[in-house]
Amino acid sequence: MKKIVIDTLKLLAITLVAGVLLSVVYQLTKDTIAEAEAKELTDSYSAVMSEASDFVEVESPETDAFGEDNTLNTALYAYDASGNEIGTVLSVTSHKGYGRDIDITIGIDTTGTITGIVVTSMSETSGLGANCQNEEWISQYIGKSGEVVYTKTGATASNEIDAISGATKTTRAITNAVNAALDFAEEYFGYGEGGGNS
Amino acid sequence: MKTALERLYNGIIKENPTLVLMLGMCPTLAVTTSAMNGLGMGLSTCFVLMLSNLIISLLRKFIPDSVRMPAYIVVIASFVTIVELLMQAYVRSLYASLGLYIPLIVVNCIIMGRAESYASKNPPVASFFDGLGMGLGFTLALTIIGAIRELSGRGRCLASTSCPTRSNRFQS
Repeated sequence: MKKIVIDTLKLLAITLVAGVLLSVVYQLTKDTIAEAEAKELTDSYSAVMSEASDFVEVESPETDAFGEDNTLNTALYAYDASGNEIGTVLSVTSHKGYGRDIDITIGIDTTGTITGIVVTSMSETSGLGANCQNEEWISQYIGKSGEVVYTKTGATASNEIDAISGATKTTRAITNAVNAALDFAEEYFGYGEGGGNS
Repeated sequence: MKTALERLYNGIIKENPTLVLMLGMCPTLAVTTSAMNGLGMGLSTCFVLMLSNLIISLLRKFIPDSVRMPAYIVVIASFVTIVELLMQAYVRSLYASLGLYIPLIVVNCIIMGRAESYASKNPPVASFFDGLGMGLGFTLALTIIGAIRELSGRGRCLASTSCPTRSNRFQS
């Protein structure tokens, strides 16, 4: 009986010391982690709209532009240094990836033109669909407006982009998400209304 | 000093945990998709191994035999959580690519194995170097396996391309 009490107390002592140590480390790293997370988020917004200096979230925008294949996660107004609205940053998830969902963040300016796009999360096939994160490929979307079309025979028209070789499904999923975002920007914010090439 | 060197040699070559003892196969298979992931996982495990071996060895007379397993787990889990928090704060890219496998270091059988078979029976300094040796052996094995897998799977190693891959064919 005495042994069981002593053993328990010893284990309790070890656990207590470990708990105290952990809370100290947690306190020390807490702010750095929060800062790094916030910075990563702003960085991903700035990456698609480099001229913006401030982002404000749009409260629960209602839209059916995204349909069932895509989901709008967040929509933000982008403001430049002097406080003018210069466009929007949208975070969109496509459910039509070859692997699982594909998350993209896209910047659209007030003329309805894409200023930048990044794939923030995906699980497409390595060496094929995973190339959608390749800078060279994804930057094809930049400068496009209206409706983007992908082609396997080499882009010629101004609204065409080259599909990723061997990954048509990935290309289709991302292009659909991009077009949904462009539609949304036109419908909800009125960006580039009447313009575009579709 | 002699013990320290002997322990390092033992951990890296003679009883390499991955290549000779065949321990820790789960993280070995899971994280060695690239040399960098292997190296990161290896060094994290090495850090935990050194410190858990040291603490368990220091506490070897205090920890009662009947509750030694939970006591070891508490020590190991604490160090793993510390590594996870530090990584989350300062090496975020590695944290993102290793993800779930960091907390799973707790159940890495190399760490439990060294605590049980070495640190609980030997003095602190020798145990510390045993952990360092084993950790470096694990790191070495993971990095080599990761490099081979990265080279054969993606045609590059530590992000430098060695042969043309499909990713270079976009514009053609």
